[in-house]
Amino acid sequence: MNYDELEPIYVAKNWKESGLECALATVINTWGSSPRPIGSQMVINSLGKFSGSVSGGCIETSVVSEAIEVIKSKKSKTIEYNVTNKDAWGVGLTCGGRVNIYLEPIE
Amino acid sequence: MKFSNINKIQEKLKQDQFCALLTDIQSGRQIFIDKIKDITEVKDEKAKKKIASMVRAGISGLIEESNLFLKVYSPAFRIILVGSVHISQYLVPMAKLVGFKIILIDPRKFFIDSYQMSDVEVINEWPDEVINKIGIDSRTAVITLTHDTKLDDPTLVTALNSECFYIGALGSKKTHQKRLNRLSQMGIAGKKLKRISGPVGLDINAKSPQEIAVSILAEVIKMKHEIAGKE
Repeated sequence: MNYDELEPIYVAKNWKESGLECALATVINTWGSSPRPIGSQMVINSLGKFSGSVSGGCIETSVVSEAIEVIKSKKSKTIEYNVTNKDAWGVGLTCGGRVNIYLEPIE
Repeated sequence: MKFSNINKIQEKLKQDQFCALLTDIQSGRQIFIDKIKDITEVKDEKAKKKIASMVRAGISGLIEESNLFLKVYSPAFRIILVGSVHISQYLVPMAKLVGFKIILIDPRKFFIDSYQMSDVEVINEWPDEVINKIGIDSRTAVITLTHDTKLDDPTLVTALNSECFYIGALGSKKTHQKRLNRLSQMGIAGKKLKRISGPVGLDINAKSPQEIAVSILAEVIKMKHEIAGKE
């Protein structure tokens, strides 16, 4: 296997070619100890499958549902994720960081 | 992102070249940056300069005082490996997994025939000749694994005269000392010789070829980031 094939944009290419709609999530800014650096990407398809990562697994679930909205609306948007310690089931970075994610449809 | 941009990025990376996407995160407008002159959309000269330097250094990020985000797609760092040996059988797939591009050279046909390598073509030529042909840049590491001075020494001399980010040579402390003496007699300064990591790899008490491959790869990763941090 060529590991380049795991690069989110290449996964997106394969999905698009097989007729699936996709969105791309990119870490555009970080504060404090966030797990993935600026520029990290994750791709999500209309079935809710994803590849790549924008955190250590803390916010991926939320990013997927936001991405499905972006696929439907075809409108890009920026989402900020903060630390949430109050609600263990809530979305946030347990590591104490803050990240901005840019979500865009692949057209 | 436009689907056509993915193809453009893939094409540039295949040619070992940098490219980038500049996105206005308010409007969603996006431009593909192949050459620095493509940044015509940005009128502010300061921002333009900043974008150019970020593309060259392979750094993604927001451009200050704007709604622009730059995502740089960088070509893979390369490892030139001299020696189709037991360690290479493990080092090659591990390094590829981490994202390095591998150039494996061995002029000894019987070594190539014996050690089967997965997913890499072994160049059956003299290493220094191959290296001079392809060239070494600051995103390249050079590692000798043959234990054969006829192959290792000319490779190391070529590497020492380049701006490669890492040089490693397999061999015990004793072997390494003898190697340094030989290279020193060839007129290479002691300060320059310090660039060679020998015995190669991070000291993790590695014994087996698999473990030595891990220790070498770990050191290459460490040096890659140390040098990137200085830029």
